[in-house]
Amino acid sequence: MQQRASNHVAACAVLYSHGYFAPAEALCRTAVEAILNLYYFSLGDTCDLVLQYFKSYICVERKQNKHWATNVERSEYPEEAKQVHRKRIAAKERALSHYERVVTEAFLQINRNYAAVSETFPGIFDRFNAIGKEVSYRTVYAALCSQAHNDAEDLLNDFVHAVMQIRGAREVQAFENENFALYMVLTVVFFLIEAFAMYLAKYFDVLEQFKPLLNDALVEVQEVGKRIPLPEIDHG
Amino acid sequence: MADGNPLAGASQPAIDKDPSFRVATKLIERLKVEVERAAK
Repeated sequence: MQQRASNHVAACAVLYSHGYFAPAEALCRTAVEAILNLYYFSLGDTCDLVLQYFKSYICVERKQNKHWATNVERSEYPEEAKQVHRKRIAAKERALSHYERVVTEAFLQINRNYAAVSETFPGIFDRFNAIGKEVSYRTVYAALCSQAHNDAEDLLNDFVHAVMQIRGAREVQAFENENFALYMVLTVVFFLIEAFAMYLAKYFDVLEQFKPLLNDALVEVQEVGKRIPLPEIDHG
Repeated sequence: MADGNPLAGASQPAIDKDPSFRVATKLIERLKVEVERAAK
């Protein structure tokens, strides 16, 4: 889990470093979700939360399989193609059942009851809420989702600049895009450090050790944030 | 860079000149060191 979050953050930096600003932002969203889980699992009983996470995944995948099967049967695919899908669905069902047995038995050895755990894992907002970062959900996460979902923002910016023909507007926009991506990369680096500190603090006395790192990250996030100008809108 | 061949420059980061980006990469390295130190 820690390695996954760290790898995502490193990959965000790689994308940024090669001039892929919008893809860096899109990957930052995935990084935030991985970091959020690491952070969330540091709250309360980590074993119970991980078990709930696994169970929720298995339940969601079973529901997806039902939808998959329904869509295949309703489709106009030839019977031969439908049969291929049915075999794939059956294989996935078997794999899920096998994983469920393994998880049940493994967690039973540490006195955790799979059947007793909720099959619903809290949604993204609820996890942000649980770690006290609702505002980050509305700001950082919302902005990253916009890029990940390919919202119209970038294309709309290009369109408006092309129509308005304001000298230098494209350059200003390019500067803002580059710095906003860097701001997001630094934000996920800060979030990763904070999540690691919270997670490790459950087991080791590390908070003092992590303070300088957190402070340096915060200073740099704020520094780059100053480069992103507030828009001076003239609708005249 | 993102223009032209998408893999051009893949082995050589194009914009590591920005001091704040260099800080970001240093922070990632420092985090790795701190995590390893904590786990010892």
